[in-house]
Amino acid sequence: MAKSDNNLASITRQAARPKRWDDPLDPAMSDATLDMLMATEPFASMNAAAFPAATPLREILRADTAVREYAAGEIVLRKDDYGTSAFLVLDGEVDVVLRPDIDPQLLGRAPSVKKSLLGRLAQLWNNNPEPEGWSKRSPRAGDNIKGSINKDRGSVYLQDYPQIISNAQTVALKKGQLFGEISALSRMPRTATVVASTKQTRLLEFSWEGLRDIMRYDPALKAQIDRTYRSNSLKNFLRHHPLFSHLDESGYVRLCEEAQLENFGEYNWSGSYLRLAKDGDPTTSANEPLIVREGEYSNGIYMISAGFCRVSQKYGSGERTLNYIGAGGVFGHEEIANHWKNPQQEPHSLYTLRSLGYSHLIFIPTASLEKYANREMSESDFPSSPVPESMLKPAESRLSEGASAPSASLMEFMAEHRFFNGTKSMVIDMDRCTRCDDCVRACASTHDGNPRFLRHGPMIDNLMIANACMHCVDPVCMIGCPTGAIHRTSFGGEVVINPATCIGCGTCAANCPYDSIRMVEVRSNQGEFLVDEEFQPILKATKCDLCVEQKSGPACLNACPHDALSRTDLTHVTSIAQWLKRK
Amino acid sequence: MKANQHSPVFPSKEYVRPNLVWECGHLCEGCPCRIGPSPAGKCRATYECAPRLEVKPGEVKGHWTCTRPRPGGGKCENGPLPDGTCCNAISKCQPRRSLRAIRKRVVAFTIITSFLILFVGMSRNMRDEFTNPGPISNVHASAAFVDIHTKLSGGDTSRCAACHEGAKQGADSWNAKAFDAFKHGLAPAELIRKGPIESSAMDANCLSCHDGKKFHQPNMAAEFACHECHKEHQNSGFMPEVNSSYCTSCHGSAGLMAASREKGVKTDPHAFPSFLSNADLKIQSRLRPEKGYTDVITAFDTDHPEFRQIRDGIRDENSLKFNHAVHLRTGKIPRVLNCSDCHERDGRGEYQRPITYEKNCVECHTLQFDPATAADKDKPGIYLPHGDPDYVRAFLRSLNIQYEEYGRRHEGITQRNELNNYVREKKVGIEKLYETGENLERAVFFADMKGELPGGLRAPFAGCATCHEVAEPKSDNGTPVIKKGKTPDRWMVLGKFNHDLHQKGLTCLDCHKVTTSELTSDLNLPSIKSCVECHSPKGGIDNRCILCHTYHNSQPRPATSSTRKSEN
Amino acid sequence: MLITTLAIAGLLIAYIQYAPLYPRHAYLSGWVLFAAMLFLTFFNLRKRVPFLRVGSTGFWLQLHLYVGIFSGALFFVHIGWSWPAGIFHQLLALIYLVVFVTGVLGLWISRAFPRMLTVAGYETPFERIPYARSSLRQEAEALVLAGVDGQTSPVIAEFYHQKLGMFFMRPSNRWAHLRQSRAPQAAHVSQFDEVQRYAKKGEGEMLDKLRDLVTRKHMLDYQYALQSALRLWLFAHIPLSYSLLVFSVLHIILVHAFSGSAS
Repeated sequence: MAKSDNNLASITRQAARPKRWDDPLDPAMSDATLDMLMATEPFASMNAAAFPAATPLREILRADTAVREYAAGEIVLRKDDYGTSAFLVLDGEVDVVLRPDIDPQLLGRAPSVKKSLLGRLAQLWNNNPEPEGWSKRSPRAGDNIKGSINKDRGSVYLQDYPQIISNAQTVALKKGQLFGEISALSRMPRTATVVASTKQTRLLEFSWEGLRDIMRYDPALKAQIDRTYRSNSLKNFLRHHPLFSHLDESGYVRLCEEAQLENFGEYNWSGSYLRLAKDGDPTTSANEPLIVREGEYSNGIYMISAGFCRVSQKYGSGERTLNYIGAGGVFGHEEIANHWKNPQQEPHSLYTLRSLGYSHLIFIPTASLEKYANREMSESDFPSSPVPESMLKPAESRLSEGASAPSASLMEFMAEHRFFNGTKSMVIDMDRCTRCDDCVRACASTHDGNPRFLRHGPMIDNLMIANACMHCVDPVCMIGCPTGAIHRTSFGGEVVINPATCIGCGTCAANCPYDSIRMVEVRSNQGEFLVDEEFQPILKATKCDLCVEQKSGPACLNACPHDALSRTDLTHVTSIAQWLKRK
Repeated sequence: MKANQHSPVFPSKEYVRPNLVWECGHLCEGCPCRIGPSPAGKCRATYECAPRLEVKPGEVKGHWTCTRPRPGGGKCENGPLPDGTCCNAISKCQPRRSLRAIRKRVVAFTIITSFLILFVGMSRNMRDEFTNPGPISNVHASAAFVDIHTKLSGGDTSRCAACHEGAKQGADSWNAKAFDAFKHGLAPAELIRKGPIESSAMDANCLSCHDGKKFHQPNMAAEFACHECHKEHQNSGFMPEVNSSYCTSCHGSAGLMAASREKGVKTDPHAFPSFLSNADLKIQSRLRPEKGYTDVITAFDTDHPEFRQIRDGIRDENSLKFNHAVHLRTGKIPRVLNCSDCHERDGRGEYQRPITYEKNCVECHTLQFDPATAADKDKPGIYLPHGDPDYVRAFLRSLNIQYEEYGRRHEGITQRNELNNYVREKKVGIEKLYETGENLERAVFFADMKGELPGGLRAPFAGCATCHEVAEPKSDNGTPVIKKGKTPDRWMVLGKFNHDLHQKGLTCLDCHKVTTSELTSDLNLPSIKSCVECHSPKGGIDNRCILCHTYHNSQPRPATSSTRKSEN
Repeated sequence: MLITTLAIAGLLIAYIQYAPLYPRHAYLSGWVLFAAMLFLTFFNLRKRVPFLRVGSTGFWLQLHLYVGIFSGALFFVHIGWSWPAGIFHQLLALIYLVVFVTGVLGLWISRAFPRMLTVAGYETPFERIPYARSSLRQEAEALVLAGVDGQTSPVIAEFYHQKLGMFFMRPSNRWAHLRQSRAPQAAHVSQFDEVQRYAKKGEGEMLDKLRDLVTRKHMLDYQYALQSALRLWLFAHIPLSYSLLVFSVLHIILVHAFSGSAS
């Protein structure tokens, strides 16, 4: 359309709207390969008709999978990396290393690429004067930003692989077996290292959104993955826990049979949370499923494998939050240990346990504990109390002298807003903040002139939790992304958005319970809005990326002159207590 | 969230962009357009949407639809005009600079204004007044001075250039001069160097009017600048008094004193100012100390050395015999004296007038060898003349004539016979006392206070030897040799002292311990300790160097009543 | 802090004790002062490069404060504890003092105002204040226009027009808020009380809502007053500090061009 003077067109520019499959995992995937795949299990037995016309199975395979070849000893997955791919063995064999873990140095984990000094200095003059300018220099589709899904990846080989694994306990996976799907779907780090063991091993790599879509329309695959997920995460969790690490394999198997997996809440809890928040108080008891009530007879322990739970105690006619515990936390062990020491004393739960949002818990009955738990465990290995000592007498208010623990109101505030999810929450001490906005300016200077957070958010006493991405332990924003543009960097696990592949659907922004993601209308270098044929602006999701590209770390931290801003780990209540105590 | 009543309402889906230079002019009304001004500050407002022509199958003309996106409000109610114009025009605004951008401008403006101020201030007319760091003393500021300078310098009318080399060629040379300064002497070590400022080209300018810089001592380790002590640009009256700290900046520096000492050893002794008597001032001569005056002195009350007279135990070498104690004690002399009976202050109140026999001693030491012819109401009496031994001898040998003259003039005896009788009478009297003329002569010269003569003889009166050293004559018929008494006028010639200023609350005896002094050779001068009692922080009186000393080397002033211009 | 106090004490003692022996000390103190001023100016430059690893801005601010205070003592030592004479030098000394005093004032403001803002509540980002203001105004106007049953009594209309119209239109009572005075708010309260007397029966609820809006506008104005003060003090401190540098350069040239010796 010609740029005329009687409408907005003069300040728009036509551009192609990015689509879901603009950035296929393997652009060179050929039809022959696709044919081969369609004939292989499990795809062969899938009902192609169950897939919608918009996303047929074949096209999903074309865009969201890739066939990869590995040599013997080549690392496929590293333990503790964040990754969003799942793998299916097509040919050959891979070893999953169980115990002990391979020396991380041998694994060659690499931090993300940072800008050079000159590159950083260039930010002084190179930043785009137009807001959200999408210039030639901005990353485009096809740029190798996805760290973990990198077809030109630098392959890392384990030298002398047979030697290394000779002492290790491994499980071999053969043709037709799936691995890596837990991390891909649960947004958690890889639980084990996987190495190709035969030469010419061929694996089919799935991007997680591809796997998700196939699972959505193929119930058999979904059920299988669910089953594997439950048993593997259970086994893995118990295997690495100090309480049970002394057991042999058969012991584990029996333990796993006796342990129970309990799920509370929805996997995609943000939707329900937002609904609750709009309607009323999201923290009333009715909305938080009760797991253990205070005073109840304690007949086992709960171990949290994912999600968050609140630990509280009766106070007056309500409940006072003492702590929230996440993955790795244990509840109920103190009571059982006391009972073992004084058998006359019956174990009754000291606190109440509720699920916040969603949580996966492993329940181990007392009888199994007596059989399998390591009673000789040393003090230091014994799981810590669900309530740190400092919290047993929480300060009434932040003003009390020498308060070493956050006040009760702060705890309630954190639980109410679900802030305990954040590993890098932006907490601003408003008693020191002069509202100078230097942090925002610094953020803009490191992001091509565009700030990536809003210095505003819920406040409690003198603290503000700003709308900056908290890089959650459980990033709900990642759940619905159609292209996988929002992902975790492999090394540090920061949640970042690949602007090249983001198609602007806004799912992540809607999902985020903390308003940390904002959709922006991209513009050209002359300030024209980039629009599609229907003159709808092309949007991109943006958010704080913890300045992964900058060697100096988050610019906001560097820029605050008054030490008012911090990126705090809110998953542990002691971290914020410590920050509050600073001079 | 709980519905919070007290919560401001603003759109939170957009980022706040404080880094942008321009803001939409409608921002202050709370409704900026989402387009925003261009980075150059132009408003880009047009319309809210770009209508799209939808031609459904079967239609010919088609239908315009509103395409306003959701962030802008979604489809509008009325829809586009039939010709495809959007119905919602955004009114143009006058974009405004953000606060930060305004601040940048203020900074630029201030810098430019500063330069302008400097430019104006440094313009030819204003320059002197602008850069002058302080008022100039009245003489140097006078028109006469400027005239002199202009004549001397051959036409340079800049008042600053009279003293400052750097001002001679105008402002352009200042940069050059400043850079010069950096290159040559501005090493950090220079800045923290102890010791007074050295002489420089500026001193030559002072000397063009001020005659002869009378220097301090020839063995000075370095030549110092005039302005080290004499500060200009302080006030518009007289130049301020010199600060004693300048003295100690050199005399308090061990390094400089050591250097001076060394140099002094190598310097020709004759170059140093001498301490010899001259016609105006009698002083007991002494040599310059070997080390000169290079003790390290930082303050009067702490480490100023003891006065040399006291420290070296100098004795008065005066041949005159005088016993202070006797003259001040009762019982020994007819009338007890006090200090002011002999010591008279000079016109300036500083020192004592020289003591002479005629003024101070004659009242008691009358030289009356003939008690019968004493002074009376209207008669002067016959006394020996004082001063010249030859004259005394001549007098004695001409006693007849002396008596004759005396009788004629003062006794009123005119007749020759009466006169002769008178003379004879007198002579008889003398013979009774002295037996012979020779004895008389001897007695006159050699009799001391008690009338004793060498050889055990006695005389009825106190002769010359009372006070003088009388030696036997050199030849048979010669006059006894009497050493001339040299009473020094001043002892402490390196400094100055004003006795009048010390009158209140002090007596002479407080400092001069003469009541126990029986020897002429006693100096009876106070030790520095008695000065320090008052001239110290504890004593409360000013103890600056300049109270007693001066830098510009000049001869000590004699005690006279004439007012002499200070020579500096 | 301890180090600075010690340094200043040391400086003063050294000055009193040793200055007479070191006649060139003014050159030394002058150059150190100039170096200190340059360092203080670098703080602004550091803020522009938050992506370089040169020490956090918080650390630089601490340095800025301590070096700034130390430079104050150095300044007095340099001018010899007596106010200079002469146009240029008085101007130079005056500018230094203004920069120093605004710095100290700014420090006090930066420490005192954030607490006051937090306690007062109604936290709003500075650039969003116009939005909040406009929404309050629209709400108030809508309230008054709608009236009760679609009609507004002339009393209310006049009251709004005279007392509240301009109030809602723009930031008001800036100085009162800076002085922490509640007088304007109290004035509105009594004005409301007065109007309530003459209003129709049913308008009470509307007036209450209007009161609430007025309260919120006061809170917003408080935010605006203090936040703009937190920004505007730098308008004096920063430009004048550049001015000071320019003047100092000329001062250095003059001193060295005119110095008799020590050159």
